[in-house]
Amino acid sequence: MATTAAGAPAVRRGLARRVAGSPWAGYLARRLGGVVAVLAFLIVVTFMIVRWVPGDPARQIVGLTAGEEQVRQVRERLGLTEPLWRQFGTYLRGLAHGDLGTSFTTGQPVSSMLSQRLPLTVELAMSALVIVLVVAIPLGTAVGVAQQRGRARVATSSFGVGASVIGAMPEYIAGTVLVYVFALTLRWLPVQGGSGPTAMILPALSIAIAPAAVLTRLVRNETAAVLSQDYITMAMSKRLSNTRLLLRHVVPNVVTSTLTLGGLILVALLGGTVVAENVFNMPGAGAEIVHAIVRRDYPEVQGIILVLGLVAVLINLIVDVTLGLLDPRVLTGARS
Amino acid sequence: MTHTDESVLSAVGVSAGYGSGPRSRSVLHDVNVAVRRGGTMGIVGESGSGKSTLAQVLVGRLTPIRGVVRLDGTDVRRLSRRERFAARRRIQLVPQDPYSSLDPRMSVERTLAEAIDPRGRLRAGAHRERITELLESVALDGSAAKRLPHEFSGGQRQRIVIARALAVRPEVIIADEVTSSLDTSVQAEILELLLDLRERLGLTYVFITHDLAIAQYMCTDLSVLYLGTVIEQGTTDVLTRPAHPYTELLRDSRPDPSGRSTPAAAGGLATEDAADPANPPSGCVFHPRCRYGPRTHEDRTRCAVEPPILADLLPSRERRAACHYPIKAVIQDEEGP
Repeated sequence: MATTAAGAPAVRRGLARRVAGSPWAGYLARRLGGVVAVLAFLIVVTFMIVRWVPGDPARQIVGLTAGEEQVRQVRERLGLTEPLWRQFGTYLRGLAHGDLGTSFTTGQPVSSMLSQRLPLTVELAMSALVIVLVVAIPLGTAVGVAQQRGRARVATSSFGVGASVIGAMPEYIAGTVLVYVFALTLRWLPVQGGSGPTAMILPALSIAIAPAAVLTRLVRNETAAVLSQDYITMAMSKRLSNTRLLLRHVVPNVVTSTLTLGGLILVALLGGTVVAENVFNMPGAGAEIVHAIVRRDYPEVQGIILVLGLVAVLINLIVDVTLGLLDPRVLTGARS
Repeated sequence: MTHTDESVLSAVGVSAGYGSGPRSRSVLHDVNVAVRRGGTMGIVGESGSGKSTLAQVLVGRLTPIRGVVRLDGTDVRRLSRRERFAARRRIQLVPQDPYSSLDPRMSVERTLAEAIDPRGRLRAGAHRERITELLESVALDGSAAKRLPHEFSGGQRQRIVIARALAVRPEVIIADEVTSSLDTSVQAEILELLLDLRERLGLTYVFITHDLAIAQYMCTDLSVLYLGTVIEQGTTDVLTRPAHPYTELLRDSRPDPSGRSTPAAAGGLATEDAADPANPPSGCVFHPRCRYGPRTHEDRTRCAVEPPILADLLPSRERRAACHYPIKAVIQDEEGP
């Protein structure tokens, strides 16, 4: 490490110079390589899986009563009679031009379907993420501090059990319970449909509740771990105020691990939207994918999975870069 | 060293422990230690003997159950809140682990600035000169200021921790096993640095270690702790000519690099012999392991019943031991013709 000492101060200024000739170059190259590999894998696997699922898209379109000849014509029109490798080639060429294909059932481009439906899904996932963060970070920190100082012993020791139970609750159960309590019994919020923020609250809560419990527990553990470090004791002996201690020493150290899991949680929230949109009957991409699977609409299924996968991969990339900025140790893998 | 009036820091009859109620754990029992100004008081003993607890008491982080801590002869409990805070700044602790004692997310500069100015009253750049001065005093380059702890080795981290302790211009440094997590060559550097700082800044040290060679090298005075009691005290002569059988055992169980004598051959410190600190033996706490005690001498039943007090052995008052039958060599040497 003595060798890095000489050049280090000069390189500090400016992000651009920081990237060149610093650990950033290797770090970003590794991450981007990962993104490309994941997307390639996703494209191939989705393409294969939709075709391995039993069922015939043509039969779905023409109906059960139609004759064999009619089915054969539709199959031909959809290009399903061609060999698999040629279908894949056509799909790849389309992708290269930004064309996600055309829906088997509606005849609309998949991209226009996504532009209508994706915003709702993203809005739902982001609302859920906001709920997760707003609950988990303050609550986790508070419980961690209380636990470390031996306050409210009953509350802190039962916290772990409660968090496990809530964290294990699937979206559809959380959603059903929430609808029963807030929509049917209390009549505060609409059961489904409606517009504006009130319509978003219950679906967002139903997918946020389990990840919020998991993240709260993580923040609690991290807070307690950081508080038991010597540097906290040393800082306390300087008579720093509690706020100052938390903001300067605890939160920055907790945030790194929270962010790592936060990215994974956001990805999980995207998955949760599929369930929530169906439970609450919302016209988003998550609801559409279920219909598309039932109708064996290969281009739609492929398109939705690819775009959601792309979003997930980008979220992870953003998290990785943010982590690198916050904590240079991750760049070289030097984190203890 | 027995005269409290010339000592800068002293523990008088201190008993201390952790927790309260039925789950409390008593660690120190009636400990007397006086630290001479400008001297280095070594605290040696096995793990669990209460060395670190004594450090916590001296630095003011742990309040004793009984007994007092005196700073310049004044009972720290008598001080006002403000005075007590000022007193705390005069005594600084350098903890054992240089990894967990530095905030991994704070640059060296910020860590030192926080020590100099904990409330952040002054502008961020106001401490630059002082920070450079502190880094120089621990032989680190000024360019270290902008870097994060993970960019440093263990020895360099320990230098930063020492610089942080020096930031408030303390009189007494309590060094708790500062070299035990470092490589031998790095240990030597840190020890030299501490000796150098003692000369230049007129510091007083309390030096806690389990390594007798280091204790002998660093210290002017020594206190040997066993199960939370001081069993022998004196100048570093304690280690070369022990009066207490336990000190003798400690000395003899040092591995001999030549390989000619092993700790086991010296009747050494097998761990199964070690007593439970929470439940010390009756009488002299060391008697079940003592090679001169009731185990070998049937007439010395007194050891198992009556706890010995730490008494002066020499007219010069330079040696005290808590033993009913101290090893005679020390006394005879001084009294003899």
